[in-house]
Amino acid sequence: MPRQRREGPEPDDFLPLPGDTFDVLVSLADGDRHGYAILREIAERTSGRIRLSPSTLYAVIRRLLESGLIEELSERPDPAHDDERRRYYRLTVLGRRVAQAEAGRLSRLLANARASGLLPGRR
Amino acid sequence: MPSIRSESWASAVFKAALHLYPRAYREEYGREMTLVFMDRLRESSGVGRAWAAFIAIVSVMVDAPGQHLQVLAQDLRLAIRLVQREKGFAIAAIGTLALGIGLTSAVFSVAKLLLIDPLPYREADRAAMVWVTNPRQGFDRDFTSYPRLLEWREHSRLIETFAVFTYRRPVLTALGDPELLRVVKATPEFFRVVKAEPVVGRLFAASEEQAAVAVLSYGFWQRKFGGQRTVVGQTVRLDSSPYTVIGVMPPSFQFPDRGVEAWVPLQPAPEERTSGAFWLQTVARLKPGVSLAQAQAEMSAIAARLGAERAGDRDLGIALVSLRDELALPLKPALLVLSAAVLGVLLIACVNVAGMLAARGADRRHEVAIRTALGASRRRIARQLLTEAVTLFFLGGVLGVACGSLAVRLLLQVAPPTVSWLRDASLDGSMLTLAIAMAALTGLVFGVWPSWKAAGAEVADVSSASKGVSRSGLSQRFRRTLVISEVAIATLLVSSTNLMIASLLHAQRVELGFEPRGVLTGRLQLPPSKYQESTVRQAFWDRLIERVSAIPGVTGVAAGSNVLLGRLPGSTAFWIEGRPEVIQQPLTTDVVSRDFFRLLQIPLLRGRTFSAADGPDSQRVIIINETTARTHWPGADPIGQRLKLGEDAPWLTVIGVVADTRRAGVEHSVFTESYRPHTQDPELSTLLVRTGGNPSALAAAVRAAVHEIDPEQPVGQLVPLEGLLHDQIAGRRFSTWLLTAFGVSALALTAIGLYGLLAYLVAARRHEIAVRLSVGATPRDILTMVLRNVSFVLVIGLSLGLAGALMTATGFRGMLFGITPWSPWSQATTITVLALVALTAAWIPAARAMRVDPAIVLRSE
Repeated sequence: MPRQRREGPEPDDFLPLPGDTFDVLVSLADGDRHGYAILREIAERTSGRIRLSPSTLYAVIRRLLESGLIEELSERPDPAHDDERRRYYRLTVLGRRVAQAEAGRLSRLLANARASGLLPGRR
Repeated sequence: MPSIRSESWASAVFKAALHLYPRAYREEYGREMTLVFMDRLRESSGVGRAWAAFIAIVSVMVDAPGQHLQVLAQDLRLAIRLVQREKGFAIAAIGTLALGIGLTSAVFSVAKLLLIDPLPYREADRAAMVWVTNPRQGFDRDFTSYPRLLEWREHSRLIETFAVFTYRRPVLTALGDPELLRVVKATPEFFRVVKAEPVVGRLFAASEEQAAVAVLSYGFWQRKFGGQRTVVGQTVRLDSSPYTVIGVMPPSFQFPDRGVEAWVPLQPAPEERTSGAFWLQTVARLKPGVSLAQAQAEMSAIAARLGAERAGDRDLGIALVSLRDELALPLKPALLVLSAAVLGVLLIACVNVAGMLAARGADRRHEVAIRTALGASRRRIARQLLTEAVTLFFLGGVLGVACGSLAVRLLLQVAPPTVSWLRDASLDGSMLTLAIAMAALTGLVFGVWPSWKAAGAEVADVSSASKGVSRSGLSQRFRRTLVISEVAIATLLVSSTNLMIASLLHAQRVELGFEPRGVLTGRLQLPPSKYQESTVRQAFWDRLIERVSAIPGVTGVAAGSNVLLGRLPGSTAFWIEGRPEVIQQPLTTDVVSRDFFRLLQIPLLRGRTFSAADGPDSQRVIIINETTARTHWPGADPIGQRLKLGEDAPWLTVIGVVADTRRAGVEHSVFTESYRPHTQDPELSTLLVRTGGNPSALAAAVRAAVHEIDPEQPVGQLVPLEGLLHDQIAGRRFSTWLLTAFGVSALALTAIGLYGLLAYLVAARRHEIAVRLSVGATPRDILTMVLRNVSFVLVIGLSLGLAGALMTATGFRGMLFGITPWSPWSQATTITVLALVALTAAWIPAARAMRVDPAIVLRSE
């Protein structure tokens, strides 16, 4: 169901993002996914350190839908592969900008920590 | 296999847990969540799988309340937006509710304080007052005599302890200015019957009947000793005798009443131990497990046995009254009537808001229909409308708290000092909760119905409704029923208020039999230690009367032994010469100075009043009132007859008959009364000064005259007699005022409700009215149509209300004075008032209906 977008929110309005929310946005950055695929992507990317429960995932999805950062797809991207009951989600333009802004914010924090010698200067 | 079974089992549990979510959320995401859950289970096995299932289910439980809150927050946002948008409606609804909730919680708090809250005495339910009754003569609360107390003690098996007490007004000296104290003299068992712990020191020991010890009240301790604990062991001088302070009671201990400043042991003199005079009040503690009814049955049997043994006790009974009833019984009718009245106001307030909501529900059918068409479920919309209703009631409740504490404070401010029981009142949390709960429940009940109906609106209905073919007949009927119930409740209230106002007017008009205007009065008790000799007492009073007479502006001075418009003076059984039997109907006796009757303008009906000739050594004389003459000498002349006030007392010759007075106050009946001259029995303690001007202006001069004679003699408060009269009906006036305020509130709210209904009807029927006018109906016909609606509501509401009023009026007959509950005058007033209010409320809608211009209305459609 299409959700109403708030008019003219800036990405900075959403920062800082809660960790779960950021993870979901990141998992949608490289492609549309359904719920379980999001969970799996997050678990793989974090080597299993972060495993969202279904209830947490859908609480996040609901919030992201309502604030217009993601949208639900009306058609499935890969009908051959998937269960028709699944719902797929995609980053909106705003969602992508918010995720980028958050990533930028985090990297600035990281740079600060390095500059102060709290973390080693190189990876 | 087992894994598939455990999988389906886990999925069932997970699906069940999903029911914790709001329905809309579950419908939106439940299926997806279950799919993800199952995927998650399939990717692991064994303990990991069980753990994953467990975590997922617990997460649902943790997350679900948050989702509910989100929905609620969303609804609240909408509701608050509505309040902002429809300010008029919201202010009317919230204000109405706040008023209802505030008043109700305030009055309920006071009622609870007196009727429900535990008394501040330990095991208070085991303590009871014991009164002597004389049903034949209509006495239900008389004192007892010391010999009778001993007999009760001897015969009772169910009562653990009896204590007796009596009031004294000793003069306190050597502690600042001399002053009159209010002291209770009680037998040492007193504090074992009315159990309480002292805050400092100890209470009477069983052996202290003869001891000169005193227990102080908290207030007295604070006032005179600054609350110092070293007070124990110090001495207070009462009537010049030293009493050692042994303890201080807590502030909550106010037995027998709140004005008591100290308790000292009762030491009956030898003659008091044998005297048959009724002078002691009794309080008893029942044995554990004994009910009041059992103890009452036993005491009644004892009274019957004593009555059979002694002719003098033949007509006497015994009544046990629980401490709670003793305290609250006189106020109970007023409190119940006021509570019921304020509850009526709250109900009307809630019904009014319900009516407003119903009207809005109907008005918003259009909006709702559109939202339904856009996919919102009926449940969701009903939930939102309900949230709006509950928000209004909630805001009303919050404001009601403020209203309530303000109302209690206001009650304390405007309450006359004689309504002393109110002084402990504060807003009671539980009563406030109760009032808010009642309002919220009404909000829920009346909010659900219109919301549900409104949420069911179909676009088709609404579009036709907008053409004026109203389909909200059900809503109209619903609102009409609401307004009828408002009218009924208002009728009930107005009718009760009418009866109370009529009673107050009667009480204010009642003939006292004496003239209180222009009279200053005050208590002046000579300490027996200083004024032991009767000649000394006599000399003091003679000098005082002479001095005060000389004050400019004074037109008369008299004195008596008892305060007028206070308690009845002591009474006693008596003997008439030539009649063998003692007369049990007690005769009260006042000792008065010579000018007493002239000063108070009490007419002499027969014989003469006291004169200078009635000296201590001359024939002992007595004056009786008309009722005594009529009762004991019917059709005969009592002048010259002799009577005595005790078996061994001297004979007194009747020299005059004076008119009856209501000397104890307007609401007391006339007793058999008598007067004796102070020259033969110098027991004066009350001064009466008459002036042509303002009596209060004389107070300072009178006080100075007293101190000229004896600088140490305290004078009680000098007040105009008329003020005492005013104070006496202050309680009644106060209740009447409150009830009137509630009645007016109820009327105003009902008028608003009726106006709302009619305005709504007229608006809904504009189309019909326009059609009628265009086919030849006159504005007069339209007026008739509107008035038919009004009279329908009015007649049914009035009939129900009057029927209810007749039923309840019997219940508060005890509060009425000089009027019957069924007074046709009062009912006629009620009907008139309600009809006037209804017509006023109908005026604007009716005028609006008559002004409908068919051309405009019909063209616009």
